[in-house]
Amino acid sequence: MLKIQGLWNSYVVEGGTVPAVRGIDFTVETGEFYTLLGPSGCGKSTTLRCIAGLEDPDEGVINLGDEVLFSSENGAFIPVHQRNIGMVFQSYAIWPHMTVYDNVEFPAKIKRMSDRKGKVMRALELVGLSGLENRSATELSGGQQQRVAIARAIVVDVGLLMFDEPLSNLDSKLRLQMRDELRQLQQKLGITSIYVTHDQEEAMVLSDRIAVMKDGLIVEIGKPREIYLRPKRLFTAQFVGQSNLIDGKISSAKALSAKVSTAIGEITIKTEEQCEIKEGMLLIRPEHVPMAWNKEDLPDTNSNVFEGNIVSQSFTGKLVDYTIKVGNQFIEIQMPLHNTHQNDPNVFFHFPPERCVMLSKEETQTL
Amino acid sequence: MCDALKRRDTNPLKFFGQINWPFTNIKVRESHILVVVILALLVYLVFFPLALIIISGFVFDEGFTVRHYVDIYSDARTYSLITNTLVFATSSTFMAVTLGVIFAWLTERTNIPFKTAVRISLIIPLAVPGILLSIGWVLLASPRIGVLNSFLVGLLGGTAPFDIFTMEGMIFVQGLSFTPTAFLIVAPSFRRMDPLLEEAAGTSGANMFETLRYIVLPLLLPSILASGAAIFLISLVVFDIPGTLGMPSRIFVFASEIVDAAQEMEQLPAYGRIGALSSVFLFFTFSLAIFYNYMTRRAGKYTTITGKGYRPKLIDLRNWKYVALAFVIFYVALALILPFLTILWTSFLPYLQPLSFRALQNLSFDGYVETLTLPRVQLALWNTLIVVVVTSTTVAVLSTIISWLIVHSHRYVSRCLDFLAFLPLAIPHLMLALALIYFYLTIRIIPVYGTVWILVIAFITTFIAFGTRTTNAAMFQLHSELEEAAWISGAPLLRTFKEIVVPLIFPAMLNVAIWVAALSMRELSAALMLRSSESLVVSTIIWEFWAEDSVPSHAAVLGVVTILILLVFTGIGLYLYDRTLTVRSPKKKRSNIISPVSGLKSP
Repeated sequence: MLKIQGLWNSYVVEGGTVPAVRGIDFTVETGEFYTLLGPSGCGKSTTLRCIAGLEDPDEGVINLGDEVLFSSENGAFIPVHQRNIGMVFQSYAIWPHMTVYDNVEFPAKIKRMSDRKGKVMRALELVGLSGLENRSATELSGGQQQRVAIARAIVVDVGLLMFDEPLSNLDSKLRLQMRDELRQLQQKLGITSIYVTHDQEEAMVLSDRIAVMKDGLIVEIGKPREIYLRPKRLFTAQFVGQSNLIDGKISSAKALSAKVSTAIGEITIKTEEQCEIKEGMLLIRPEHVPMAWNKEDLPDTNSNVFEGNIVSQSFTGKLVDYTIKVGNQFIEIQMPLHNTHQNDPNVFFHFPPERCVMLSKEETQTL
Repeated sequence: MCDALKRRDTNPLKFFGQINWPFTNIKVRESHILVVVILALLVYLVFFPLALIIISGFVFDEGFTVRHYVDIYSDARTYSLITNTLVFATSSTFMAVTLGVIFAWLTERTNIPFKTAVRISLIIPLAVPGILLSIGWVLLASPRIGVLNSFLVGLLGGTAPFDIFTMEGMIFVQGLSFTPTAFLIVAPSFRRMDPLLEEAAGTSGANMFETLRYIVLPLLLPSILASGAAIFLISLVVFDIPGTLGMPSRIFVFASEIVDAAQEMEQLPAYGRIGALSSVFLFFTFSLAIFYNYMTRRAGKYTTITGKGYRPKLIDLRNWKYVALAFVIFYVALALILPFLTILWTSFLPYLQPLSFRALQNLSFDGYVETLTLPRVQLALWNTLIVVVVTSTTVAVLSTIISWLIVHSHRYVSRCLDFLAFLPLAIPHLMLALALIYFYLTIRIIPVYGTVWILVIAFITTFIAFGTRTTNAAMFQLHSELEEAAWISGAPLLRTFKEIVVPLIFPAMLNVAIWVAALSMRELSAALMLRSSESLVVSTIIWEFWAEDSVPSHAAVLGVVTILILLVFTGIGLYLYDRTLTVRSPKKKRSNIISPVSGLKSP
């Protein structure tokens, strides 16, 4: 279990310091795959480097299992080479003067392990590089270098595996493949893992839980489904996936549902508990909005049905993106191309209440 | 969360460099101890001598005075000395840079035949030290014994057409000697200039002339100016050639004046005058060094943008390419072949004789046997070996450590290290030698005065600037994650240094070692100032045989030996020079790096 409490870290720049991480807390359970997700400059890599011991935090406590890696309270600091961790770098960091075997063996050699050959071979087999151990590291393709980096990180039994945007240098096909392999490998080994990325899809596929970060703070923590379907913060809704956000006021709230009055009319939403928010933004994802040219074709015509005009559409292959205008409000809708497509701009659409989420504006503006 | 924000936006401790980790961004105590040790060493090696020179200019009878400066200002001789030095330095720099740029353009951007051979033969003249080049030219063009003169007089009659013991002669020989250095500094930027930049100008509607004027020249100007500044800096204080060619006819420049003054003085007070004079020149060399550093950075910015392997578009010289080739051969003949052959000829003769059939019968190896069995020659050879080996290894290792610290230290510490390591570039060898004498005569606890070790100290100090320029470039190419991956793997600092850093930048270290070995073998001025009967090295003993004892055949024998050894060094150096140009980094498989010649090849 990895436990981070009140972590602060700032960089020294000309004329002062810039805080990169501004007091974050989170816990990664044993065996969990945990992702720090956020735009560049949000402090996710710095957080990772603090855990690795490559940065020196200003304040906070970092615990890995029973061991205190860092604590500003009693000045504890375990240097990077004494922490029981493995890391896969963005640049792969494969040592060009060594063979594949030497690269993978290095951590085991440093830690004076026995049966090093067996360990290296097992690691190489796990990443699918058996037979390449005598290759020079520079003769490998990007994907193979990535695999060597992973093998090197898992060759000894580490308490924590860390990934710093490991897939960002691969081309898109290979990225998808490695993403799936990485997930399988982690589940097979069951090592506690912490992963840093700015790619929300990567985060969704890989993670057990995701911490969304912004400006050095954690905005929200949750399982991929929660983050995507029921985000609690406006920033999460905007950063993860595409979103329609409509200004609205709660007109009435019951135990598990509420009515929101908006510019396009009253919208009924389902809530998990009594809605506390009075005023805010209503979120609905473009792919969750059914649309039809005849009102009767909609799956539910009792409530939340609106009429609008298509102002633009773009064909992306798999899907069609429509922009619908209702009064002065624009709504994005994403649909598969289907037979009912007509050239008539006048359409009807429906907001499923369970897909609508009410978000507060103020809450997210503390940052 | 909000409370935390209000409590503190920045950590005030960090601004003062973090209490726990004051010097480097590596969280290991050893690295901080290392910084302190290296900083202290650099202050000791570089800063103390420099301060001493400047202070000595203000001291008389142990009191503060400006009388030395007044003396210098009121002495008419000072002004003729400055004029001489400036004329000499400007003209020889101009000649060397012009030739260097022409040669760089020919080898990098035209279809001159035998390109590789041409490139190598333009660098090989580095193997001829200034003193031997001028000895060669005395044998060629002295009015009395010059081979060229007697040949032309025999052919045309009249008086000797050349006199090498003149300002023109000095400038000519110095220009020849500096050309390879200029070539080495300028050529990489010609090579690395992306032809796309020129093509883009073409598609924007610029003709060839406009492309040259607005694109090519501005891009190359920083490196041309850098080579100019570097060579001008050296030529202001160079001793070998003005010493050999100017002193016999009493034409003095700054360096020969100081050697002359130092040889005459018996007691310390004369240091005051020299110190004051030196401080004036230090001001110039210092400004030039800063200008040079600035320009190399600009040049690096302009030319290292892409790491793609591209082939520059070559200009077809058509039949002119043979003229170009002839021009290169002519230069190599003047800078290497002719002087070397005359020295070789002299080394086989018991006394100076012009080229003739009669002299052919006198050729023998007797001179070699006689010279090389002299005890003081053997001492000099032994001393040279010590100096070369100790200096080159120390500089290679020290430069690597300094560069590593520069990369890993906090901003201000890093700048401080870099500045101290760069500073020796601005300190002329002569002044450094003077400062060391002054220093070790005062502080006798360290008994190096008069021994060969004072030479080693002087050379390490001087060449650390060249060494760190090269290792810096290699170290900055090393992706930081390569080291971090080793730490994460559990390797402590030293182990990482040994297993990851050193193997990866070893070509650069070897490169430094070879060039420093060659440079310390060529070095004359500091060695001459620090000379004692005990601390003779090959370069000083050549000077003694030639200028003081007038046994030219001994000097020629040692000259031949020196040139042959330096040829080997230069050959290895050239091979490694090409290897260090590409350091493998994990991101890009091969990437161009900043020129290793950002340091100076020829003091």
